[in-house]
Amino acid sequence: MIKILKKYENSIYSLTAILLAFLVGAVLIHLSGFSVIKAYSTLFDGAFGSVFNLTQTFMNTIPLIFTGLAVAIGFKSGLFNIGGEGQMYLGAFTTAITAIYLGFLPGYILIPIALIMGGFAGSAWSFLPGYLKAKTGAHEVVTTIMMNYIGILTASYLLLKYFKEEGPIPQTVLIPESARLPELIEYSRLTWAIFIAVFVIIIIDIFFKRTKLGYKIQTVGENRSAAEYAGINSNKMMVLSMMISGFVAGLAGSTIVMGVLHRFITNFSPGYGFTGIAVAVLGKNKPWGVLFAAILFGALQTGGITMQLFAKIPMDLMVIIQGLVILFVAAPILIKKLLRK
Amino acid sequence: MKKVIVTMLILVFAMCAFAEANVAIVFATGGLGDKSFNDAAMEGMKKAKELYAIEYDYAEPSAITEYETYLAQFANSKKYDLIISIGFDQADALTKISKRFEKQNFAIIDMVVMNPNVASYVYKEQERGFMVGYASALMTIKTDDVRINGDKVVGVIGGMKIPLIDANIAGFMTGVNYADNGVKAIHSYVNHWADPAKGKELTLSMYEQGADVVWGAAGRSGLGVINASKEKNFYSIGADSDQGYLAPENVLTNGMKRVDNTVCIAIKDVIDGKFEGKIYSLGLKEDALGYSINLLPEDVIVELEIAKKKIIAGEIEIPATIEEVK
Repeated sequence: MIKILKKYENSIYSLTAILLAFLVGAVLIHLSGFSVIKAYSTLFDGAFGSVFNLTQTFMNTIPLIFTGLAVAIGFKSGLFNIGGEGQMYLGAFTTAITAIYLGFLPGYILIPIALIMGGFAGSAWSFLPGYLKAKTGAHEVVTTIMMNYIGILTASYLLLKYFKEEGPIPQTVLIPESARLPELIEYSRLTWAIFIAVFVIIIIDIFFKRTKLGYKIQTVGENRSAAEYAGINSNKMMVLSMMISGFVAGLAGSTIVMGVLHRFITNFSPGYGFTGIAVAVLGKNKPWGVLFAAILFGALQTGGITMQLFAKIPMDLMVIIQGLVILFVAAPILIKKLLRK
Repeated sequence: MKKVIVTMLILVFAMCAFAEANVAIVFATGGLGDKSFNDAAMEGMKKAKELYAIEYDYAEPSAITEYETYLAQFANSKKYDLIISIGFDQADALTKISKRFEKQNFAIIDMVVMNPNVASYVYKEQERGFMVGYASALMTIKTDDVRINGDKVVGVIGGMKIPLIDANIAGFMTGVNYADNGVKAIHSYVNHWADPAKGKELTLSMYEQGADVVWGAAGRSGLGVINASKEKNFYSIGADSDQGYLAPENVLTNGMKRVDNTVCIAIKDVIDGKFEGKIYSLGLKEDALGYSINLLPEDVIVELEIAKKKIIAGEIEIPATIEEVK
């Protein structure tokens, strides 16, 4: 029994945190003068209540899977990649440009190329902070945050300077039909991107569990000096893990362009890169944990929309619940300590 | 007794008929509190509620990807007589959703979506250009104002050379010519919507050339126009909303875009059963464009009102391109 508990310890703590967050959220909703039952029932209904709502939840989940995974990968080597937002923007931009300029290629070639180009753009952007960390010790938190601004603004600049569609809107032209990911259900905007996301989770999971390289990266994250002592080039591993992390963050942008927006538009993200940090924390930096955390956040987002529309409860309460989840995920360390006494 | 009941029933039905319209509005991602389009549109909803006793719901998307979700949720509820999109970046989402919900009426403001169930409301930009151009020409010949110099020159600065801005500039020039008092209008472009520094630079160079009233039809770059006028103490003219608070002593007037009135017009069309999926060009006549009073003296306002009546009556023709200006 204790063994089983030990095995699922992380999941149990995360679930407790979510429950606690909803409990405190209920108190807040009640204090704000709304009906708790109505709030949570429209929230649930909005996120899972119909096929359409379900598709919207998963649509909102996809970018969070990628950005959450990106943060988790960084953590494996002990690095905190907060640059997901910028990496995602460059990924989105590069994918859009690739798809537009190679539009003559058939879909089965164009889609993988555009995806990979988006990933590489993210990689290129995360390489620099990784390299600076390895060579000079520049803290990656500072450099990745700064690189966000540079990345987002660079994409906007290039767009306005060279690739803008005629008209008042800062956006590229639509990418060709062949580069668009097919929808699973008409009008849902839920596309094959969900399979790409799950596929990437599987790959990353295998990478860290079953490959030498993945193990080396983790060793660096656990104890850098020990890793060096064991003959692992920790600098190389850190740069590498940052690049993989950036690649995955870039894919968040690629799949939004190819699945949802069908073009690059400035300011398209409501902060997926930053929400990814919360997703990684809740998912305990485990690939499959990230999946469930992303679904929860996607559901809160989607359900929050219905809650705002039909129960007239401000969206901000949803953001508060998201914050509480994170707070309580951090709190189990306290709870653990209390229990052990 | 029967009569009373029948009368009451008729009354009840009549009441229902009056409070019939349900309207939903999806704001642009800036959200409420933007002191611009969203806030103006919200004003329009409140006004419509008072005037036509409508009920309304609104949504504040936080991302472009959410437009479609909100529009679909509103349309799917089949509760609304009209769903209004604010902001040009909703065009993609509205194009798709309006195709999917063919029986739902939609409206979009300041943008065109060509579907039979979407009413697009755009503006005869040249008309407000005319009003502020005419006002400038009447102001620059005044002699009792320290903000006015001896030269008979006024200017307009556009954001980019696109048809919409050129319509404003063409209107401005026509307005200046209409004054027929030897005033010359000069114009230039910032080539950027959000470069106040360059807007200011261009304004100062116009000031050097003798311009003492300058209109900035240039989005955020227009802030530079107002800043320059404050620094050198001459007149500037704002755009879209009342920007007088930025420089109370220098903002002469504003080329207003009345999104609030536009929203009311869209709602009224639906209530009157006149909804049509076509492009509506609104202007002075509908009070969708106009000017604000700010520092305008009484005699200029009188002239402007006379010209406004003539434009509405179709007596003054205002071209929409600079090439056509005589």
